[in-house]
Amino acid sequence: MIEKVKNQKILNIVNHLQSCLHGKEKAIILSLISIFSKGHILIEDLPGLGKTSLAIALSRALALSFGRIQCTNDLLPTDITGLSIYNKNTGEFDFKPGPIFNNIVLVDEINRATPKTQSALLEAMAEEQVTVDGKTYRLPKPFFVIATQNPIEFYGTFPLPEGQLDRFMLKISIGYPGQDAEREILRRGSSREDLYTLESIIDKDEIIKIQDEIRKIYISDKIINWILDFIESTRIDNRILLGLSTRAGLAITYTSKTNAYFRDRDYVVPEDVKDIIPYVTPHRIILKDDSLSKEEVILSILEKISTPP
Amino acid sequence: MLLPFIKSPKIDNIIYFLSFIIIILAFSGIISYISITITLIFALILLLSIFFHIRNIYINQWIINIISLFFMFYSFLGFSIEDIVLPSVEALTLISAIRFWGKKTWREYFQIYLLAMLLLGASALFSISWLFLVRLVFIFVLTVFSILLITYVKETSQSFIEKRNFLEILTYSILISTLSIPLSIFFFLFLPRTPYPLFDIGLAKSKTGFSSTVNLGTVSSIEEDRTVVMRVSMNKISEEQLYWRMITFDTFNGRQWIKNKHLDFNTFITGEKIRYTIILEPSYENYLPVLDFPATVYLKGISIEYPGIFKTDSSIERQLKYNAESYMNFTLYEVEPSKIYLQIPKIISEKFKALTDEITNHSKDEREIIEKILNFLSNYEYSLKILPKGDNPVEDFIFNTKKGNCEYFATSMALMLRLKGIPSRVVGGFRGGSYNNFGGYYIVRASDAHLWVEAWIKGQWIRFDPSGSRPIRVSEPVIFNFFDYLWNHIVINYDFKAQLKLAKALKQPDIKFNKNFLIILLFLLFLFLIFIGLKFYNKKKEPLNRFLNILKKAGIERKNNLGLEEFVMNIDNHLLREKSLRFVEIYYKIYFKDEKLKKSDLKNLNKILGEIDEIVKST
Repeated sequence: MIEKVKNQKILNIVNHLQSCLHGKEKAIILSLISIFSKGHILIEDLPGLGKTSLAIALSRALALSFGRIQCTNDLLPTDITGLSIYNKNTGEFDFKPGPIFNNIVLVDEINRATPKTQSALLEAMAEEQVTVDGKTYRLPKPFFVIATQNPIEFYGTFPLPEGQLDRFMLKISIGYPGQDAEREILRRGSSREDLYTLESIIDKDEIIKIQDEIRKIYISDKIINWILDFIESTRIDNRILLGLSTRAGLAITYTSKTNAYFRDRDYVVPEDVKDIIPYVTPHRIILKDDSLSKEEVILSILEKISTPP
Repeated sequence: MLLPFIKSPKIDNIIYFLSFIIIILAFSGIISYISITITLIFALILLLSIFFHIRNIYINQWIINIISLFFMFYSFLGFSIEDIVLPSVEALTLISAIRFWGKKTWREYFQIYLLAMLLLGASALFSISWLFLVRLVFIFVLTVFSILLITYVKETSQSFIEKRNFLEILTYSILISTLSIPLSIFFFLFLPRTPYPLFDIGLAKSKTGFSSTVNLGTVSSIEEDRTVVMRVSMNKISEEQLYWRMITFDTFNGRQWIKNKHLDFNTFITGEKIRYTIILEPSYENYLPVLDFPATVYLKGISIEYPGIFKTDSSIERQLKYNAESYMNFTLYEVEPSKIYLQIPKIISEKFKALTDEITNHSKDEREIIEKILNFLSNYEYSLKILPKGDNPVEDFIFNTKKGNCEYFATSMALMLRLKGIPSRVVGGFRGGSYNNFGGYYIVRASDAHLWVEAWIKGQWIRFDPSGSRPIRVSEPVIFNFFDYLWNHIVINYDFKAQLKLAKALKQPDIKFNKNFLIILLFLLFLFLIFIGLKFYNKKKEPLNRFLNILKKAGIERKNNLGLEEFVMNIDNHLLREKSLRFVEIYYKIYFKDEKLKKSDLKNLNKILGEIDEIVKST
């Protein structure tokens, strides 16, 4: 995936992050795509594969504040959003912002939180604002949530409903690192210390600037029509119960633009879209038959429609 | 034995069956012209082929070729300068049949279809009947159908066919055949035509019509011949008036009637004129049949040989269409007829003269003599068989056989009249004809050929028909005759002149508006075609298509679902991949930024394409 990244700025960030995150090149790039597309990312993976490391490293390298929420079934919405505490000196309620008031928020094991807490979090993600005691607080910009969930732990979990999964722009899995990368990790030992000392390579304003640049990337109607064809195909496919939403379509265009930007182009080509679709769409559909793989179904649909030009 | 063949639904059998029908259809066009031996051999070969087909026996190709050669040799034994067509057609027939013996690959079948077409074409040499069209249509549709089936077998390599596919292929073959109709009409209307048949040689001459002599006993062969001699487009008239005059005979030499007198007559006619159109089939004679009594024939290159006898300069070897006028209820006056009408051959015996006197005994006038002779002859039997021949056929008829056809009746009557001093002559032509109410025309057949008598009484020539009592056909298969008429009228007679007429009609000024309109329409059509052509050309010239075509030549083909870049990335050849990537990059930039292809870009792209082409060619 890295070979396709041509934009020097992005390439620098990726390389910088790779110095302490070995063998997570794909996850890094996808996370960056998500950040620059102003979207959130859901990492579904086994414990101990470096989800937290990824989040910390990102926040350091991008010079962003970092907050972490470890979800349990007794986690309350206020534990995320923060709460107002009576201040004896002033005689007023002071708002104590929760961990969500950070640029990068790692929500660990999101499926362990109760639905009530989950929706509070997801609402904050969608609105980029938090309402506590009738007062609305805007979340910092950029705002980026990395949520993780554990695929094999079903006991005591509350799986995210599809409607809420839809709010994550990308869903990825980090996967096991390659043998070389794993050997490197073992040799060096855990580098959590290094992570916190990782120097920033880009600042907040720069990120916002890039985000705006990406929104300006040209996407031809030819591509949009093709995306529409694709979405329509998922809706009429007889293996799929619930096809892609309009929000999914938007996510595809946003991430495609970011992908195009990463590849140092100011216009979107079909490959930008095709490469990102396997990460943007599978978690948004419901299959009639659970035994099928969502990703396989999506890819098979993609193979059936002809790519422009 | 036939059962397994019929029951089996294999495509093989279907194709075999179709080919069989095709060849039979083609053969039906010539069956009545070729010899019975050939027909039998043909049938035998085909029957054997069915046996071979069921038993899966295939005769070796070289044996078939040798047999074909033998057939050609055999047929050409009967070859003569006058008739080269018939032996050729016979050889063709047998060769096409023997093809059924071989192992039937598509090549074999195609040969059979070609031969069938040739046979059909050959049938047009013998007759230009509308049945040709019917055969053509059927053979064409079946051939197309069969070829499609053969293709189906070749493409799918299945030996059975579902009913659905079968019907679909049948529909397609009918569709294809139908689509070819407009084109045929175009060719028919505008391709130049020769006014004469191409192979106007050696055809068996028709026996219809009269020559300048009539031998007693010759017409009989004609009288059973149902070939159409002519069609006359006119209103229906009464049966008694349907005498078609063709030739007048004045001299009888005992065995045959000949015509001696030439243009020195002194006649005039009164009556009401009617006008009509005659379509005459080739008669290979010079005389034109015209309704009695003829006034005028509107045709170039004809002469009047006798009063009411029209003759063409050359023999009629193709269908002839002419307008004519005749007198109805006419009176034919002649002041003093020639002595030739009283000539009696020396062979006529005293017995015959005595008989004549006996019959006409105690007659007051000519009228009564004629009445008596007619009455006498009415006791004789009309017959087409066992006709009196020999040295003195008339007396043989009168005294011995007492059976004969119109020739004998007319001759006897004319001779008796002459013996009684009444000038008389025999007129040849046709009598009757069946009227087709659909088309409004008379059909006159060879079997309508007839001879009758004209006698000169008191300055008038009056027609008498001693054999007139013979029945006239009433029932005719009206509708088929009508097709026949239309076919001849519209298709066969459509020639160069008609084409010119059509061309002239198109130029006429009273359709000026239409002409302009047509020009505009043509112009628009022209523009449209140019537009389509340019579009097609541009599309082909479009860099992407060129690019894909070049790669296709190198065996690298893009699947529709692949993006160009993806596609190019899969190319193994490093250099080719790099160049292709470069192309895709530039092309993408223009295409997906929705920019217009600039000349410089095009140049650039074409340059890269050139390089890619080089690489493809060098590898």
